Amino acid sequence: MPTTTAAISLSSDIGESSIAVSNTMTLYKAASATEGMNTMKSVRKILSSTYQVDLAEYSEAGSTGSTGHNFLYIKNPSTVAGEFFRIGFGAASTNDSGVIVEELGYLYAGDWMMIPWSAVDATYDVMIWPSVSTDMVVEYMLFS
Amino acid sequence: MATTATLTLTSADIAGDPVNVSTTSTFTQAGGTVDMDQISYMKVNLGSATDKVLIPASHEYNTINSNKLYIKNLSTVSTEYVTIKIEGSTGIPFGKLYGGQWAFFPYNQNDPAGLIEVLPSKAGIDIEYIWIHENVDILADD
Repeated sequence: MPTTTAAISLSSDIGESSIAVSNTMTLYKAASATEGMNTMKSVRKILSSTYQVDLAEYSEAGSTGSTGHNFLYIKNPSTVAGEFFRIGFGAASTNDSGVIVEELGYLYAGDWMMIPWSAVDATYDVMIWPSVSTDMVVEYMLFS
Repeated sequence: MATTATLTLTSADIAGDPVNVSTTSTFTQAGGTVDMDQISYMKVNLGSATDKVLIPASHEYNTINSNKLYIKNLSTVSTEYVTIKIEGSTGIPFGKLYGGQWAFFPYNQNDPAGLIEVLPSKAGIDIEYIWIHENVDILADD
């Protein structure tokens, strides 16, 4: 069974006392301590409009429904500080008529995120909304 | 002053060739080069197995910001999980963190009810979280 690990090293000197946190997790299937996630999808896309679109549809996930458990990594590789993606969850869409049911946040140039994703049904698609229409690149990896 | 986060994803056997991804972000306030300037670091016991609001409601909702949230389930039991939810008009429980797992993501409370909540699978689960945020008027008035 494959073993995939994700390590985060977070440091900040915002406060008078600095903060440093390091953690490593193994990407196991739901409720398991032995069975690692065994599929991976690695994607680089170019988005050329400011429409909100599906980044990952729930049906792409290897684990769906009420016990669905996948991990999703997303990166905005832009080097232009003002360029961002809005990330949210909603229904399948190919244009701006899609609906982000709930917005999570803004992923600015150079930022990354790593989340567990249940992919319960079609209202749980991961949606993305580029801030500009000039060929913004997004990268993501889906582990199931 | 700087706040950085490095992610390293590795696997020797999930594909035919090894996978190794490493990326570092230096977090700045929305759209610029000014460093993030506020941080909250908490370790909490979630108590009963009911929804808990992780980040207090702000009356500065729906502002463009670059806020980030890190959450770890401190349980060492693989079957114990914490469901992460965005409340709001419908409420989306978008993922579960099983024992030892963590998440890191941007969070912008985009409407008054769009709070981040966690729902433990049983009573007594500990989590830790770090909220990195910028200089909005973040605390709700009494």
